[in-house]
Amino acid sequence: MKTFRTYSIKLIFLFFLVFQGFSQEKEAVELPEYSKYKDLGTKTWINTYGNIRIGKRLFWDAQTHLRLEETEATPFFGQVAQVYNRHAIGYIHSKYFNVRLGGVLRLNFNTDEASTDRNLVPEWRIWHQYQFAQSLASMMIYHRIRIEHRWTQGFAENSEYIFRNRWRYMFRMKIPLNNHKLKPKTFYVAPEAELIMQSGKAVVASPMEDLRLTSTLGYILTPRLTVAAGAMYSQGQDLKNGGFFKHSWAMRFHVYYSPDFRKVKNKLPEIHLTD
Amino acid sequence: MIRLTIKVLLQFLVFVIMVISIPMNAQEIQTYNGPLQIGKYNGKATYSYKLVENDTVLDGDFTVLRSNLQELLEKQDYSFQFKGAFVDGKANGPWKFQFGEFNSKSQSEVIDYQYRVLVSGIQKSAIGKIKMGKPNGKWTIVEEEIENSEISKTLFKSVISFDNGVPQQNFSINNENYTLVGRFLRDGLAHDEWSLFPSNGMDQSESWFFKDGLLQSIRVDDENDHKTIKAYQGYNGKTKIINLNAGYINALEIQLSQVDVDILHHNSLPELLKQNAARYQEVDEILSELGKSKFLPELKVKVPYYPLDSLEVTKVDSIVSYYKKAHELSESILHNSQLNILKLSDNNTAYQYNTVLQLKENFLNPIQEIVSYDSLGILEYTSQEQLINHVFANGLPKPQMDIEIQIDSVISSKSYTIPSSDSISADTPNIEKIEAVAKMGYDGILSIANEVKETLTQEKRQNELASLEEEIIIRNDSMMVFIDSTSSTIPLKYATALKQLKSFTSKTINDYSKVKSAVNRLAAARTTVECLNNLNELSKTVSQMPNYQTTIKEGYTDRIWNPFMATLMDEDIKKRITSAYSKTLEPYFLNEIDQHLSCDNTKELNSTINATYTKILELKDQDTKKLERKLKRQKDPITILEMLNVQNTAKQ
Repeated sequence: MKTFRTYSIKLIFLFFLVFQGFSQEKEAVELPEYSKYKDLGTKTWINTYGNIRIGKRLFWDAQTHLRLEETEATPFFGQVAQVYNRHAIGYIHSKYFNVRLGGVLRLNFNTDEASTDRNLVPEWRIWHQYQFAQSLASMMIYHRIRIEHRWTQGFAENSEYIFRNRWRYMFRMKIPLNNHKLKPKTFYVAPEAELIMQSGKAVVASPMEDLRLTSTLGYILTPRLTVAAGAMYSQGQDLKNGGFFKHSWAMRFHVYYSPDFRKVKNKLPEIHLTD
Repeated sequence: MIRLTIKVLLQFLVFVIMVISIPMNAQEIQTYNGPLQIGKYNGKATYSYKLVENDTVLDGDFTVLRSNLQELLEKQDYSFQFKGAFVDGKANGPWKFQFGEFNSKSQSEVIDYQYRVLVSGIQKSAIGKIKMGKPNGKWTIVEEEIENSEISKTLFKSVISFDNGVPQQNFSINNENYTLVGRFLRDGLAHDEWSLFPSNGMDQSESWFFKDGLLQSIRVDDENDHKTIKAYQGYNGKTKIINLNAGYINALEIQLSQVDVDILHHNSLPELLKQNAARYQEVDEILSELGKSKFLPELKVKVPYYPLDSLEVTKVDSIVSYYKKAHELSESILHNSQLNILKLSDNNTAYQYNTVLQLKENFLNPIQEIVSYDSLGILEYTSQEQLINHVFANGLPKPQMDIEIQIDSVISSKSYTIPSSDSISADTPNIEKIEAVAKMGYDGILSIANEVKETLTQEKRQNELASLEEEIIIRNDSMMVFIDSTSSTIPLKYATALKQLKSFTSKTINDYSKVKSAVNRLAAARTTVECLNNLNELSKTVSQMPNYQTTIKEGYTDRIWNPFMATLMDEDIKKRITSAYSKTLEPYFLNEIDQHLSCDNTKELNSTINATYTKILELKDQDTKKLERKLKRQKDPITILEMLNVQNTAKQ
């Protein structure tokens, strides 16, 4: 946990630097007198998470997310909002710590039904993640720090890419319901809270990009396949004006799979890692 | 400049000397100092030797010794000391051998600033000269009893003079009971008077008179009488020089009447010579370990020699062969426990048994004597007539004899005639007479053996039946106990199968008890025992089936790392194989026991179950993709067993 503490301290220090940067920027955006919530949005996220073992300690993290959004007529899944392709190479340091580094190609669909701009623009990211796991009684607790460097552009023709950093911390628990531990044929509840901060030239008064509060109910089918579904409430500052807060409800559906195509003889001695 | 040259010259000289001296060293006598094992003796040795073609050849002084004070004080120590010299690997010069086995009662005394430990035990020594491996000059061999470091008794002593290995002149050998003194000629032959007298002075003494190696007579003296026994006196025929040993004494006894043989001290003379030879042997063994040796003293005598021609040798061989066959048969009859019991009640058996006894006494025992002379190699040292007179003192046995039978104190008699066509006439050569007797003995025994066989088979059958029935009861009991104790500890479905096995066992025994005919009963008993054995095995297997299930489950479980949970999870692998076992095969096996159990299929079923279990465990680490695909939806147990190649295994 010492490592974790060091990371946290570094992170907090980084936040201070970022905030100092904000205070020096000057923008002609008028903040409202009181913070204001925009209209509540509804979304549906359908996510697949793949962890494919490629070596004793290495794995390929392959995620594909489909995010839907409401339209005037249809709540939750009226239109496609984004398609994610998130990939990384991960390294399992131990049962309790792993890291990964990779890239994201996100396809952003123009969800403004009135807009006449481009319908689809790509967004690029480089991301790295540090996840700590610990067991507590029958449940598991996870601390996830994810740092993303993202290049986004607007839907308008020839719009420039803007660069931002995202600073994400997530706290998550997985609590088995019908077993004394997480094992196949087990239902579990996973409450999670993730705070996403951002920084960059374009970020002036809206460092809190998102706060996501999620709860899912999962079921471990086999050691290699788990499904989960849940609800998420999220809120965060509008990039253009920090005085305005977006907030939404989302239904989330997840599939977690972790195949291992290695030959049995290569696999056997390494299964236990260092435990 | 000159000094420099001298220095170089000197260095060269040293080099040359070294180069020359290295090969010279190889031929030189070298000395060894260290541990040495000679046969059973392991001690510390100092000796000189030279290398001849990479072989160590002893040459020069030799010493090896051992004694261990620690062991002596703790319990017992054996000590020895061999001291002498070798020339070219052969013992030569004065030698001394000393062996001792001592114990100490931890008694000690201080004399002249030295601690002395008093020992008790036995010390043996042999002292004399050796000339190129052979004893030469006077050899004294002594065995003494030591008590508190003092000689308390002489157990054995022999003094013999040799000339190049050949005993010479006077000698004396004595042990605790007798003393033998005598004389040899220059060629080692016994000569003149050899006297054997007792140490206590009370028993008779004997004087053996030799003339040029040939024993003439023996005079026996006791306190008030003396008798002369004639030996080979007056014999003028062929003679042969042989060693004076037990064989010679046997050959001599053939010549003597039984009365004379009884008068003589039995074997005390050869016994002394044997003890003497054993001690020379001991020394010879040591010397042979170290190099070439011929240390055994050869005390020579002459005997009359009647060589056998090749025809006679064949006859002797056939006598030996008749004897061996007859002996084997007679022993098997006389030691047969059933016959021994039967003869007490059954007239005929008693007759047969006693006939064998009679045949043994009249025919086999004399022939046995001749066979033993043959094995001693002394048949040629007696005339055949003398041999027959000696062995068949009461004349040759007759083929007709009266057999006495006693049952319940009633004595009766019945005659027996050997069914043999051979007849012995007075002019038959002696060796053929003996052969005829040997053959008659064998024929007689053989005919009785054939008669007895029938009695025995019947008896054997009854005994076998009794022991089989006993076994049936034991098997049944042990199985009942096993099933009763196991059933409560295993899951119901297995317990049910065990219960079925139990009731089937009872049924099997019940079936057996219904067999009435004596002939069928033995066969039925055999199959019942085998069936019970198989049922026993099967019930053990069934009691193991819960373990089989667990072992398979454990074997087919992998620990899998789930990255999303950061947890290790158990994963059932190759489910089609495990479920083929637990969902199809195991129920099939249990059902077979329940529905189709029979004595004929028990063994096969048991081995199928075990083979299946072994096979399933083996499959875990094998590539089974094809098999798993085939197992999909396959619900027929027979087909599955075929796929697993188990059915065949069971049938083998």
